[in-house]
Amino acid sequence: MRESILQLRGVGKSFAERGGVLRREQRRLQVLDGVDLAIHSGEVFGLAGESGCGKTTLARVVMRLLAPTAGDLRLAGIDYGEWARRPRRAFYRQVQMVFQDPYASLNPRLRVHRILGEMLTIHGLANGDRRRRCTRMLEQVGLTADDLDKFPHEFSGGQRQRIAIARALIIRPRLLVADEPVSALDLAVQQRIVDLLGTMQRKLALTLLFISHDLHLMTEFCDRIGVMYAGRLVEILPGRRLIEGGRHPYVQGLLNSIPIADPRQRAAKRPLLEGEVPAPGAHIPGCAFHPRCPQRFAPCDHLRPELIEAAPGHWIACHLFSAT
Amino acid sequence: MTASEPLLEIRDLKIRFQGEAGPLNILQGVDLKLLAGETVGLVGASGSGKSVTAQAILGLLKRPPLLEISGQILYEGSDLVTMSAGQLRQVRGRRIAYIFQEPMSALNPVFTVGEQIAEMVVLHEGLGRRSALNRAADLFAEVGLPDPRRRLNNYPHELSGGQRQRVMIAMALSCSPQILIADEPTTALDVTIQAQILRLLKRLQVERRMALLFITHDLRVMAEIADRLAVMQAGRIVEEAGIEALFHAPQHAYTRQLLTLIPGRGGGRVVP
Repeated sequence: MRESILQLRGVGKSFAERGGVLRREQRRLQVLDGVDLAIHSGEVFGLAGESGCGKTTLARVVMRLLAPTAGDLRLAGIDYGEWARRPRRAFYRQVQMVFQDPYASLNPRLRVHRILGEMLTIHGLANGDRRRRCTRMLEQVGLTADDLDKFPHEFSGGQRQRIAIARALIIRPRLLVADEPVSALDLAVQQRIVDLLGTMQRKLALTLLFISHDLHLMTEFCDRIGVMYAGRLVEILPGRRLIEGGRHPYVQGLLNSIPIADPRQRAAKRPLLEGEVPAPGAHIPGCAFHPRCPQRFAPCDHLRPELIEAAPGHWIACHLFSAT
Repeated sequence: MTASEPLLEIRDLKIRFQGEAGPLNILQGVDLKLLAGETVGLVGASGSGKSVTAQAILGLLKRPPLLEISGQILYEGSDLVTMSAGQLRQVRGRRIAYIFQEPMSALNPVFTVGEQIAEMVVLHEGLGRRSALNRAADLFAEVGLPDPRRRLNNYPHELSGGQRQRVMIAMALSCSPQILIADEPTTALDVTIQAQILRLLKRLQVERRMALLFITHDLRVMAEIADRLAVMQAGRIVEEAGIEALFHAPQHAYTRQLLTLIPGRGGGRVVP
């Protein structure tokens, strides 16, 4: 068993929906629901799913930007309760994040050398060679020393994302959480940023939690992929197996929905998923996917399927694959 | 009119915008034909001029930034470029309808979607309010909105992104247009909803024998919906071909480059 850098056990997150003059709680919106997951040291783990499935909430819980309402998390073997008693920077020395929007995530008033340099200062790593370390980091992400004195607005979206990656990695964290880091970029730029993340991950022996809705992109890039639906993980499998080996009916529907770049294979022949993802407040008994599932049977509308290892390294939460 | 005669024909369309640093040549001589009952895809990177072409057809370009427009957009013997605003209103929405990427900005947040679509039906077809609402419900059913009668009473914010796009499509269909222009209609949607909307648009185009001008930067989406494809680069159409020919025997270097960038095709991946 490989060492896990990040472990989640039964992690849940619900939000109160308030209404009325007294702002009383009307109902609870369950956004994450009993997530179990271990991310191995040095792997690229992809988290996939459609809008509202909970993947961004999961990232925010991992980053301690949101407190979970159930379950517990461990980073580098240390419980989040224990991390909370330590200085914040000790935690963020271990884990850093890259956000989706490179236009919003960089301070527009700071030059690049300060954006990077502040990270070193905060973490007590700023020796006399601050500028040299910033230069070296910038060069590693494909920019140059000349860029140190520029402001974020002088860069393209792809270049800004490179700066965001440099900022996250300059303190050498062990885990990088990247939430849709390329979905705001043009296709050609997307591939280059993904390649850069891959290079940095290998060079620095980094662990990467890569969140995306683009299954094709992920299958080439991720060692393992977990697919979420309605706040739960429904399938985890090796990345390169996803397209051929995805077995959960939702994952198959998701795969069937991806447009195929070959006009001879038009979707008209493929079965598509009906309906839409449930609203977060909808309490669906049993399997959350059963109202849309073409293969539902007796247990699905009242028994919740557990995530089980159906084959080595391949986990599925579906009654079709439960031991009978 | 015979089937091969174009419903809409763009001839040598040139458009200049006022930019911050002087005039910009946005379109540099675009030629494009749209036949009845076919789906033409207009593909290209952002800034290539796809949306400006659509807006020119619809007469939606404003001065400024519009500086100069020349060429012709021929529809039923008249030129949309030189048509008066009043005449254009007779064509736009009635004969040529359109849907955009973000349906929320095209819907009025303070009226129910039923009121908004009924208003269009009353305006264009002179129906009474009750029959207009009945017609709206029929249209909602046609675009696959579940429980169409009840949907009429929903405000836009009560609907999901996919449902809002279905409402937009219903509104576009409300006057039985000959031409439907769809500008990135699925780009903001999740992949399962995108697949549903693409299938819906294709079915409606075939059933109603509309011409569909479909604009997107995503060639995978084009492969699912277009019969013919025009590739735009820097204000020009650099290649135009049937969809299979374009995917399997691209002629222009830019088309080939676009094809290698498609995720999951294996090509174009730079291995460090």
